[in-house]
Amino acid sequence: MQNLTDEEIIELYFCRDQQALAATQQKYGKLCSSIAYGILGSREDAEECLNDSLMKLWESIPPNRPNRFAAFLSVIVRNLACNRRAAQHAEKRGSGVICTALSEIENTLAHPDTPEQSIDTIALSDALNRFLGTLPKETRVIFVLRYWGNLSIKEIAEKCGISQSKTKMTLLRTRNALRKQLEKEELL
Amino acid sequence: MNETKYTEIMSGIRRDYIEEAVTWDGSERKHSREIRRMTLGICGIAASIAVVSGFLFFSARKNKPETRSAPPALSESEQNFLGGHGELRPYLSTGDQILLRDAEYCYMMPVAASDELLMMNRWRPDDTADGDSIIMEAISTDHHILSDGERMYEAEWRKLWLIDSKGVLTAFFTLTTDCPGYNLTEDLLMFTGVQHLTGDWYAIRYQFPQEDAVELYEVIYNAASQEILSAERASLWNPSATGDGTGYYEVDYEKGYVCRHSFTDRDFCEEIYPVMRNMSDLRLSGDKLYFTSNYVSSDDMDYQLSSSAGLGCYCIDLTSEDKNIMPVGKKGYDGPYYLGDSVIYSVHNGDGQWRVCSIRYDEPETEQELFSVQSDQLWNAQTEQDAIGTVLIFTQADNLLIFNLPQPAVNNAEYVQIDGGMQTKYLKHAAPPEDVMGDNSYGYVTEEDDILYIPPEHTAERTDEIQCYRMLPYKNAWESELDPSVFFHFNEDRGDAPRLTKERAKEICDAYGCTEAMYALLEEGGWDVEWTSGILCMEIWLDDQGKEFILVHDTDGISYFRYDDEHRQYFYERWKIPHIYFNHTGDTPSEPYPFSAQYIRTNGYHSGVRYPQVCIIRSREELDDYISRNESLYDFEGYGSIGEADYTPGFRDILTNYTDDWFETHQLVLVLLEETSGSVRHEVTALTQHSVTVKRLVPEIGTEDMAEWHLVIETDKDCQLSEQFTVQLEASGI
Repeated sequence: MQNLTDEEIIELYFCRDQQALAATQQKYGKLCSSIAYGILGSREDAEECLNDSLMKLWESIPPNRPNRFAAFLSVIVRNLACNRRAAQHAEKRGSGVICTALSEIENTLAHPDTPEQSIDTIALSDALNRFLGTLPKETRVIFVLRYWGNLSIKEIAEKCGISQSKTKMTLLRTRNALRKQLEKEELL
Repeated sequence: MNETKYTEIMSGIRRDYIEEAVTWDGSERKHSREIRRMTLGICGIAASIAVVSGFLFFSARKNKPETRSAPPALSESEQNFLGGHGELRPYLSTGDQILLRDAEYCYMMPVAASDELLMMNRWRPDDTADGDSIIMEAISTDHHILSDGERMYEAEWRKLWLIDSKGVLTAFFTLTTDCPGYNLTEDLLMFTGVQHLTGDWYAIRYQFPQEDAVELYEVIYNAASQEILSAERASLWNPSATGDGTGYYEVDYEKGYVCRHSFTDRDFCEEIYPVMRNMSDLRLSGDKLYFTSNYVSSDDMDYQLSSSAGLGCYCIDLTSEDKNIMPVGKKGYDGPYYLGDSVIYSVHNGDGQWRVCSIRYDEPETEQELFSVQSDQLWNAQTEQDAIGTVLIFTQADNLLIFNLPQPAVNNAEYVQIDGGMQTKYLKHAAPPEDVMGDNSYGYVTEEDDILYIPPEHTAERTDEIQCYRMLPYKNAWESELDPSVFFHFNEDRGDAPRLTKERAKEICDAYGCTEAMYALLEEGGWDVEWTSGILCMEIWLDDQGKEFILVHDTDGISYFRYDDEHRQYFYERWKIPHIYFNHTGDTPSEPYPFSAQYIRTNGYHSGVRYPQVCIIRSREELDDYISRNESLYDFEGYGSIGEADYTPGFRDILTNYTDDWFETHQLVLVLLEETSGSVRHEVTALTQHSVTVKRLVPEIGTEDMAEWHLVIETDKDCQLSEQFTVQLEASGI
């Protein structure tokens, strides 16, 4: 099956044509698997999560007609993966890229001594979005793929067509810039 | 922080950022202009191989492939991506360089992977200002350009792009997983050549280091079908398409034969002619094999030449049955020879005279002297001997012939340019300024060099609102003893970083210079550092409080480390300083200028264009020229409907205000921006001598359309605007 546009894939969902699932898998399967694996740390769990996500997509389109199909799907995958992980691990840290990503950025988002209950997630999200808006596109993409998508350094480097060293350095600098921004806004 | 909180925070990221990230295609990313650092060992080996082997001489055009579609040529007034004007035309040489020409300049750049890759020589071939000399500028470039003599290609890691004169990129070739070296990083894998064989068939060369040597590989590729016929070790001499276009010849070292391959049968390989020991400088052209030899003898061949006859050029028709060796050019020539497509160049050094001559293959008895000079006019006695046998590189570009001198001459000439009228010009770089190093100075700065001069009282310079003094001379890393294999990384956890006092820094600087001072800084504190991108230069500065900080120039910009007294270590302060400007007069920068701004939407998305762009317009004529150059690229009519929130007048609508009289007392600063959402608005907040500051007003929810804007900023005529004027962007949520 040749690569369909997002609009064509959505139309297949609306026509209840099961080719929609195949088309989704073909176009976004690899990325979604990476997102799921990054959170769950297990290939089997990631595959199950991807299957669940496709079912959820089938159930939600229609009536939804997402403007941003890739983001719509990725959010479903991520949410399902996070829920699955939470059910498996409670508050403990387990495996998966998410642990590495969290350990990289947690001191950027909050002071180590800040109590969990006092972390204002909404304010931090807003500040994060403002910060992301100031970044060059590629830098923003790298940051989002790492800390939202929990992709590995290698996966990000391959997707962006850059070296792993550049990926790491970009993330380091961006984290430091984010920390400075949060300090300036007195959120840290 | 626990995972739940982290997940919640990240879940709040905007959907359009998520969409952007998950749909990002790295193969189409714009060049962010990353300077590639090459291992010095690769540089030298690659250069020597390319020079010894290169007979890529400009030749008659091959059959054009059906897939080609040339973009409209630039007019002579339009700027190309190298900063000159008009269409860029590429020309190949007999060695390791390519030459580009436009209506204004010639540009010469090496092909081989090296630090010199990023530097090119540029000159005006018609320049008559300096008698028999033309001054070349050495300018840096972000473009790794290759050429097959017809089109230009830009190389980037595993990909080759066609690049036109405007700098617009079109995908051409991608190295696949089947090709050797695919898994290597972009620091190691490098394209070194593209050759058009025939039709849609190309030979593409790339290299990577293997132990102590550099491995050259060649891909035979069909640009229309994207088929890779073969990807194997390359010979030193380039392949040549057969006259009937069904295959190509190549020298196979392992077999010791010139072999014929087929474009339609990848397993076909016919041994055509043995490569003999006394054959030198092999060159394949069409169905012919050219070589030089000082002795040809074979029981199988009709033609014999004794060793006393001197070096000769010969040719074999590979399609002929008898494969006789036929002489070309003048017999008994001393050489050295440089074989072109229709001309042989030769160099003669004797009787105090240094001469360059040419002979046409089809007129071997007619030798033309192109250049002749008394050796001691160009070189002193010490260098004259070295001029013998040194490889020259000839490049023919339309009516110009350019070749390098074997050694820089006493008049600093490095190249010779001969035009169609046989007028000769020496090409040279401007002489460096007099060294003013002394007890109280720390280098010098000129327009050409990056060495900075600091007078004894110090030049006050400003960076990011900090008054500071530069302590040490600034040198590019490739001009210093900096070992490029050592990478430096800022270690936040280090608790006991070294500190360089002002007195100690001065001592080291006076005694050793920049590089040694940097090493001393590291060694004295045992600073264990690792940098994961290419470091170009490190400078140690003092601010006006006497505190030192470090600027590290790397591939992404300038990083700034300030020493923190409390924590006794260097803190990573900023990853990119918007700009640093140098005020050689010592004057403090000017106060903000008065201005008024209009914000005009001028849609026109083009891939490969970098933003922001800024242009200072000082007359109606300049404004008209700007319009004519850009009206086909951007929509200068009004946007939206009057009364709607998105409405802006058209660029043309406001132009009527800017008459000749207006420009008597005013000037314009035009800023061209691109946004990923048409909902983003702008506000110019400051205009100074050196920059304009533009605040980007980014709403939380925005449309998903690309938008290009012209910011039309008016200011007084007498406001001095720097030649290095820049745009600073700041973002703020609405």
